[in-house]
Amino acid sequence: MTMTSLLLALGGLVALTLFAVLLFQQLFYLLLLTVALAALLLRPPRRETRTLWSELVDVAPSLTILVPAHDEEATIVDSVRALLALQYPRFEVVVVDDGSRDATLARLREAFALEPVAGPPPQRLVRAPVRGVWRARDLPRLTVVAKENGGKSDALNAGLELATGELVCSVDADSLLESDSLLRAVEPFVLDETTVAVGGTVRVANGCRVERGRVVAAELPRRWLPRLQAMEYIRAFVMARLAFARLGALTIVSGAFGLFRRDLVLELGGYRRDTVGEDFELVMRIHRHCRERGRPYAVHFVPEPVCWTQAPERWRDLARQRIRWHRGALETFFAHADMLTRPRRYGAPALLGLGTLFLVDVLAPAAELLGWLLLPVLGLTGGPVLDLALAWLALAVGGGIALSCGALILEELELARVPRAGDLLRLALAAVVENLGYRQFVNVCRMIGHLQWLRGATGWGRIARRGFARPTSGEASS
Amino acid sequence: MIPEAVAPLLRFAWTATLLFLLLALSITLVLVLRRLVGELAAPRRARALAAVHRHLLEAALGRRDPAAVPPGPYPPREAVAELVVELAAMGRGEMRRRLAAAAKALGVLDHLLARSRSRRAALRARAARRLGLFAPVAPRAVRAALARLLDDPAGEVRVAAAETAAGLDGEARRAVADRIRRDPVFTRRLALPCLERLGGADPALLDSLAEGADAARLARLLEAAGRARLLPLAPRALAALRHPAVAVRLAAARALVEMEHPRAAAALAELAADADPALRLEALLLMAERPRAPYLRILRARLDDPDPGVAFRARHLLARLAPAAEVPA
Repeated sequence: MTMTSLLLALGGLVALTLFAVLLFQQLFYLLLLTVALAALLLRPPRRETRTLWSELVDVAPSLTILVPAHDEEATIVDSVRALLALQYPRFEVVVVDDGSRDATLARLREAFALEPVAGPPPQRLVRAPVRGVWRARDLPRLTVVAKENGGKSDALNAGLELATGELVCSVDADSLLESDSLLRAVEPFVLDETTVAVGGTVRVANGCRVERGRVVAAELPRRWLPRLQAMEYIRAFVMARLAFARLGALTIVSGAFGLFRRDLVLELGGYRRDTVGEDFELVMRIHRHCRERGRPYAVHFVPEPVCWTQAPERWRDLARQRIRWHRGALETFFAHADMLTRPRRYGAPALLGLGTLFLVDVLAPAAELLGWLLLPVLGLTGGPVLDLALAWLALAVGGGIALSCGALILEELELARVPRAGDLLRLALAAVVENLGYRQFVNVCRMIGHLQWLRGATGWGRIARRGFARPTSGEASS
Repeated sequence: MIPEAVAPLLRFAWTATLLFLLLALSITLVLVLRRLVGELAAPRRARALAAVHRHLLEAALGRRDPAAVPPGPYPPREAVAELVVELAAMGRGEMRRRLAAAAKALGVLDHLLARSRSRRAALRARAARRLGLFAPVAPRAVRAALARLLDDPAGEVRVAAAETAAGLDGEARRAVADRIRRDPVFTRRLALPCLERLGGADPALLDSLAEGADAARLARLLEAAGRARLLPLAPRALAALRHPAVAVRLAAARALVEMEHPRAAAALAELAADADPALRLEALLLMAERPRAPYLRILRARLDDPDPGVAFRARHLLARLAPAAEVPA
């Protein structure tokens, strides 16, 4: 065998391997789409809240909302007011000022007439020192903690120590919750006593009209980049998370909006401070902890509760965010990779959760990128090259569009949260455009995240946010 | 070199993907068109709903014959059913009966009976909750449907049917009590409102359920008894104050506080001195919910609690309850 024929054979093998990985990825997504469809058909989301309140008002467990805040002076007061006005029978809000350099704490003290509470709070978890605790005399449900800067996990740990609710709900300070989202999200805890964590849907708030920390008119983002992310979020939440939860393999409860049993989180030692993917890591530890002790437990996902979050509007910010997410995913994956070696013990979360994370999120993006780069070269290897190129294009682009449309169909049939027909059409267009450059860009970011993780990079990086669209004075008065 | 043998597979892959894409795009387009048609028809539907709303309201107030069906077009029956539930919440007695009669004439009862046989458990549960409204105008049909739903395989449907039936006559209530005694779903939190509704009239039922119940179930039953202020169950709550399970001790104290039992303060004092700091903290929170003068003594005793969290909360509560001069720095 000559060197040339050996290279050609090797090229063919590489091409087919890359194709096989892509095929596996798309088939797996198709499976998720089918499972999500089944999940929504079996348990359709509730659209009205009237009955929900009367059903849950007496039985909903007490809840503490943890709000880590860092340099949020512009929005914190409105955010806290909106949180205090949520529909839920028994809850409190604990805001943790994580060493803000701006006037976040001063704004809170002024707006809610906070009074300092003497004595340091008890330290049960690892966290940076607390500077003080304040409570509002007229609002017994509000507590504010100021502490040295230590990052989001650190702030959540400080909040956890002061929380008194049976459940804790972590919410980003710049996220907005729909008024009934807690009621909807708590339902699995009431229906299923083994529930330990519940995740809810997160949507892109760019373009929405926001008044006093609440989305009053849900709109699609006007710019293309956040609109593409809006489509991506629909696919991730309506399709992937719902399906994973149904399969008992949900490994991520979004840090922007997730509910946990407080006693379990405390038992686990709170959030880990050495990772940027603290939400993913906590859920993996919950799986590990409960399975090692043979404790019955369930991690649910409820598609209806909506938390609105701001998506990056610039490519550079998007890249930073995705690099960080990927790094966090890798940190958690390798911290818990040993679970993969004992599938009998760790079951679906290890096999499906971690296993697919590796194949679909680590291997497949690299394979897809490599495929796009090598496709022209592989054309020289001979054989049914045209068929390979067509199959590759069909799977990578056509398959991606079809899956996004599938998620959009699920969204429209079961949730119907897209405001207008025109918006639905725009999202369908976004589903097409997303696969013609955006997805490939995200894959490049993931690879950079991979390299940064190999180099041992840490830190969150800063992402510029535009702030929520506010009404003009005329709009506000009308 | 790519082997020729894989060519059929590759061809199948791209053809199948393209067909899938075509299907997905077509369905999306159909949904967009459906939404567009819905948006165009929205004003007409709103007018129809307003006309039905007017008819139902006037029929309920006795200004119109409930059996006389207004001229169409009609909005979807599900929307009418929601409207009826909303209106029913505003009235009682004869007004509700007339409203139910008018809704029945509009086909809402038939719609709910059909929904009670849906393959979706959530829809059956929703129908079960709404059927109770029609008991005065179609007692036999409603009772039969509820009896069937009480044996539904889905727990939430059984709970919904039981809640509805618990609000009906004696025979239906007996059926519910019977079901509760042999159904594990009623030990869950969701079933508590139903237990409370029945328990208000039948404390013996709650008491019998508490007999031999495990800790979780006992805690929930005590909470239910507290919320329904069932004083006949106070002895059981008092006995539960020394239960080995923390949740039961807490639920017992909470029940006594809710019942405003004379021994509530003593129970809270006992709870506030419990060996478990989490329980001591919960006792303080219970006091915060219903502040009373006798609690000051308990709070002062907790100012030097070995757990800083408990001491911290006691100090804060005391600041709220007592004049500033009495609160130590």
